[in-house]
Amino acid sequence: MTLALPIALPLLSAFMLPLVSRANGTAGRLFGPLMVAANLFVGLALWQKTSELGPRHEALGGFAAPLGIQLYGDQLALLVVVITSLLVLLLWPRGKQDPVREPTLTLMLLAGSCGIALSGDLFNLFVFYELVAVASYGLVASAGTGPAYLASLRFLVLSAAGSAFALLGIGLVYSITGTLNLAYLSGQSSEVLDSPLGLSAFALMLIGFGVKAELFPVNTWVPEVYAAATSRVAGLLSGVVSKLALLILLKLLLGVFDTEAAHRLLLVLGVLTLLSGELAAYRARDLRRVLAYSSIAQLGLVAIAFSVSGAAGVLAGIALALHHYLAKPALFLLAESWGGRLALLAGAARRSPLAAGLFVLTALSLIGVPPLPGFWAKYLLLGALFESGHGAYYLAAALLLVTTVIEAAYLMRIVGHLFEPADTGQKPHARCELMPATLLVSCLAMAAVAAAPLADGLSQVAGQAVAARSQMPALTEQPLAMEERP
Amino acid sequence: MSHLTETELFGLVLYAGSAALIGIGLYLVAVRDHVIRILLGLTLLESGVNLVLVAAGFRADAAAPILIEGITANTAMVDPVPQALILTTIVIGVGVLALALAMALQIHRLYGTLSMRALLQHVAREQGEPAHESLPRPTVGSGDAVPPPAAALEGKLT
Repeated sequence: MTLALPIALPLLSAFMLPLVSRANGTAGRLFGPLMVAANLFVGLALWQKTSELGPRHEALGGFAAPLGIQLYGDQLALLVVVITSLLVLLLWPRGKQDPVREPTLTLMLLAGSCGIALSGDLFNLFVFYELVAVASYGLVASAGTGPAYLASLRFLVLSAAGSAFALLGIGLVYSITGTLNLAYLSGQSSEVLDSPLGLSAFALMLIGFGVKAELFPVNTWVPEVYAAATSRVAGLLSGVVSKLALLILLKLLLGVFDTEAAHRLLLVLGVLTLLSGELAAYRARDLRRVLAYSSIAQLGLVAIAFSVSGAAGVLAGIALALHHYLAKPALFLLAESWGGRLALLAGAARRSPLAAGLFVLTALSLIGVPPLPGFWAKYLLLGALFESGHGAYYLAAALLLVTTVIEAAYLMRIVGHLFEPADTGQKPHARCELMPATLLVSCLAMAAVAAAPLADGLSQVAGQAVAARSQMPALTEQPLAMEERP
Repeated sequence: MSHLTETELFGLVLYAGSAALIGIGLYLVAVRDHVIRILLGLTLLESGVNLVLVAAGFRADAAAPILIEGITANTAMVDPVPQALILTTIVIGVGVLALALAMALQIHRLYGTLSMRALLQHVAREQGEPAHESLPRPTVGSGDAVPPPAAALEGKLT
């Protein structure tokens, strides 16, 4: 079973879906979810293989590195493939207006996501990132309303400008090192990219990929897009796409830019993101905006976790990311019927008790109340920050605790509104929103119960990701640096 | 000033030119109001970045990396990898631009204007209540700030 299968399967299905839909309407409706389920099984099978045999490289088309594009499948990559397929299946668009457009875009999103997870070449990573970007522009605009089109256009402009900067960074890396293959780049000593030029390349890529990762200062698109898009698309964007962008940054940090300056830069941006997100969420008066800003803050936490060098930081980041993968889409699904001013939520608990209960559970997990998985994730992060031993990280730990208090304040305020004795006539939730939300929250609850084995498994994943540098296959032919070439 | 070699002169012109393109593109994206101007700025930004990549691969006294008559695998060639990269990037840029123009067309059909400021005000009014308690409530009768659709089509090229 080849590593290219999780990428090829959704991509092929995306282009075949309109044809199948033309032939038979029901087949068209079932085709998409069926292919995503198939992708999920392929991901699980590959995960099984990787657990037994270890990470593997695969040369696409038989072209050998360093000029050929390689795929690299370790446990982290396959974890992302599996969980992305799962989320896409749960958040599959209803497609009432158009049964073809949204599912096709979602399948392309899945193909791009698996590509980002598995790619071993820097420019190939960029191309799949652009694929995910275009799919997300289309998905945001598919809500069909005026604000959705405008939000999508503004998102497009910001994201495309960011991508131009990321490409500039990639060009700088190529001109310094002479290669784009991630394995070769990791194999080089870190002094090559420890210069100001290397740091500026990383900064450019941070700005570029930080747009989707919702990092400060390029996350201005987040509130308007999440307010304008449908809740499933918002769940997909905040749940899947943002984590992929952070995964790219992690791959860069672990392999290419393993320098202290690069880690510090990410820490600074992560802290700024966390602070700005939590404070804005506290002031927001609209449920969707609260969730959007809270999403920014949680991603800032993941960025802080990744900026701690060593397996502990990667473990905390993966735990936080997994937790956010499950929690945020659930919240957005619940907010579908509850969108609007917070004051209008009064008494909604009586109309939809299950939804209110799910909201409370997820909110408690976000804040970090034991024994919910959010607590374990934040605890791992605090542990990693204190272990690192540098003053800046202690400051980040203090800020984490302060912002948790702010988070508790605004989330409990919403819960208070929900359980108010007043009644503003909110309609109860539809089943198609409640079911995926219930599934996601029950995954959270299961994670709470199975915390210890889960932590062991994740630390194995993190350890493998970090140790990959020293385990690179013996490179017989180093690419020539710029000066040595004829 | 000592005489610059051909490579250095070439490099200077190319890098300075691409910096200018990136600067102009960034200015248009960040500062201008009309949607088409913003998209034009985006295109210039991408062109500038592509130029930087191509310029990075330049070598003196080398031919283009195309195997035609008289050029064998042993001839000195400029670095072909950046050229392959920007081929892909140009195509991505064209696709994204096409998508953006389609969205701009749809926005114009819905709102009648392509001024970013006016569009944001339209959307803010549509979404009704302010999202933050500290912002003043937009009054419906403030027609001076938002030009009516007919007038928005003329004189909108700022």
